[in-house]
Amino acid sequence: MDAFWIILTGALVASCCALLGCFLVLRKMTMVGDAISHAVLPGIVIAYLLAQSRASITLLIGAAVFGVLITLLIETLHKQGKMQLDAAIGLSFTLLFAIGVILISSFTGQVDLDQDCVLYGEIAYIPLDLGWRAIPRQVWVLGILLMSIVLFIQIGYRGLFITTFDETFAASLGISTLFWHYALMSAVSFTTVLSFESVGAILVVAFLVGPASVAYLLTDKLPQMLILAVLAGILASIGGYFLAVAINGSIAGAMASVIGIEFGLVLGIKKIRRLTSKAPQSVFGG
Amino acid sequence: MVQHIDNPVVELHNVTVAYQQKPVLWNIDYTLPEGNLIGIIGPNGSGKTTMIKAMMGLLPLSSGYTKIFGKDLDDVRSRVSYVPQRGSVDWDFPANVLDVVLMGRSKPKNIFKRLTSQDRAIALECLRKVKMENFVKRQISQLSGGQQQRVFLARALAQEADLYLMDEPFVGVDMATEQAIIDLLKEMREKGKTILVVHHDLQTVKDYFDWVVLLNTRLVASGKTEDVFQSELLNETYGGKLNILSQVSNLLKAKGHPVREK
Ligand SMILES: Nc1ncnc2c1ncn2[C@@H]1O[C@H](COP(=O)(O)OP(=O)(O)O)[C@@H](O)[C@H]1O
Ligand SMILES: [Mg+2]
Repeated sequence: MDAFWIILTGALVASCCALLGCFLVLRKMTMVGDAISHAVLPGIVIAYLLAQSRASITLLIGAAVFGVLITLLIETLHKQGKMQLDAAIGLSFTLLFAIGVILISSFTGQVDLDQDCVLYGEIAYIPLDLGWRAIPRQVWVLGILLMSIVLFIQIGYRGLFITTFDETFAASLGISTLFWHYALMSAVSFTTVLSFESVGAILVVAFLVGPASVAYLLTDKLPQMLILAVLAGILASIGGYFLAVAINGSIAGAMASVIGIEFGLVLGIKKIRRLTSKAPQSVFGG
Repeated sequence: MVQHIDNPVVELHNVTVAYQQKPVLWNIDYTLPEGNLIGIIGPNGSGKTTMIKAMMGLLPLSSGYTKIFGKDLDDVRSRVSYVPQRGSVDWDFPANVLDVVLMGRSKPKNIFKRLTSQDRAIALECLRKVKMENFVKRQISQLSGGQQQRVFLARALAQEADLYLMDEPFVGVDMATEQAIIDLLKEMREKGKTILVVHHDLQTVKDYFDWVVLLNTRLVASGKTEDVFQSELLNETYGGKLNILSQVSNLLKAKGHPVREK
C-alpha cells in the first residue's frame, strides 16, 4: 500500500506540473518556472518563522507572495533595467534561493525544515501522514490541486492559447495579457509550494519542464500535448519508484532521472526516424 | 508634405514614441481618409512597425494622441484589426489553421465562453476567401510562407472590422499569393473598408495604393499617391541610399514621370 501512495503522490505532482509545463514550454518560459520553484523557498521559510507553523496554508501564502514577487522582479529587471531575460531570471532566482538557504541554515534548530527536505522532498514519508479516511494528507491536497488546474485550463483554454501563441494580437483584441501571465504564474507558484513538501524543488522543476518537452516532441496538437505530457509524467512517477527500489536510491531523484531517459529516448527515435526517412531522398536527389 | 483631410478614419496628433529614451517616431501628425488602400513606406528601422503598434495601443506614447474613427481606440476596438508581421509568432506552435483563424472571433467579452457555430461559420467563410478552405485542419507548422500569410489574413477578416492595419503582409510570399491578397484588399476597399499596409517594394506602390505615408522616424509625407510618390520625397525618406534611389528613378522614368535632378 505504501508504494501505491508514493506512486500516486508522484503521479499527481507530475500531472499538475505537466499541464502547466506545457504552457511554460510553449511560452519559452520554462526558466521562469524554474525560478519560481526556487524563489518560493524564502517565502516558505519566512512564513514559517513568522507563524511558527508548518500548516500548509501559511506556507502557501508565503510561497505565493514570493512566487509573484519574483515574476515582478524579473519583469522589472528585464523591462526597466534593460537586462537580458535569461540574465534577469538567473539573477533573481539565485538571489532569492540563496536568501532561503541562508535563512534555513541560520535558523536550524528553530526551523523544522532542512535543506535536504526542501531540495529532495520526503516522498517516502507520504504514507505516514494520514488525513481524512486514512488517505495521506498530501494525496488530498494534490488531488484537489490537480482538479483546480484542470478546471483552470478548461475554463481558460482559449485565453491561454491566444496569449501564448500571439501575445501582441491578443493585446490588440483588448485581452489582458498581463492577467493571463500572472494567472499562469500564480498557478505555477501554488503547484510548486504544494508539491514542495512531498517531492522537493528539484523534482518540481523536472516535472515542470520534462513531460511537456517530451510531449512537444511527440505531437503538434495542443490538446494531445497536454494529455501526452500527463502520461509521460505518470510513467516517470511509476518508473522512478521501481528504479529507486531496485537501486535503493532516492525516489525523487529516480523519478527525475526517468523523465530524462524518456526525453532522450523520444529525441533519439525522432532523430533516427528523420535520418532514415531522409535517406531515400538523398539517393534520388543526388 | 502632409495632406490633411476632414473626418479622418485615423488621426495621429504629434505622436512621439521612444524605446528607452531613444525616439523612434518623432512628432508624427497626419490624418488618413476612409475607404482607401494606404501604403506605409520607409526603410528598415524607420518606425513602421512601431507606428502601427502605437496605433493599436500596444506601446506607450511619449507624447501626442491617436484617434480612430474620431474616438479613443478602446471605444472602437472591435472595428479595428491588426495583422502582425508573420515572423512575430512561432509557426511550430501546436495549432491548426482553424484554431488560428478562430482567434479573430475572440473578444475580452467571450474569452471564457464557448465560441458559437456562427463564429465557426464565419471563420470557414474567411478561409474560403483566402482560398485556404482545403487546409482547415492542417497544422500550421506544415504551411508555406504564403499560406501562413493567408491564415493571418483570414484571422483578420474573421474580425469583421472596418479598419485593417497590416504589417508587411507581402514579405516572403509568392507572386500568386501577393496578387490574391491585393485583389482581396481591393475588394474590401470597394466595400468601404480602410486598409493600411506596411510595404517596402517601391515597384508596386503606384499599382496598389491610393494614399501613401512616407516615414523615416519623422513623417516625410502623407497624401495621395500621385502627389507624394515622387523622387524628391523618396530621396528624403531613404536618406540618399544610392541603390534604392537609382531603382526609383529608373522606375519613375520607365513610367514616364518627370525626374528632377539635384
Ligand atoms: N523593443 C524594442 N526595444 C528597443 N528598440 C526597438 C524595439 N523595437 C524596435 N526598436 C528600434 O526602433 C526602431 C524602429 O523599429 P521598427 O518600428 O521595427 O521599424 P520598421 O518596422 O520600420 O523596420 C529601430 O531602430 C529598432 O531597432
Ligand atoms: Mg517592421
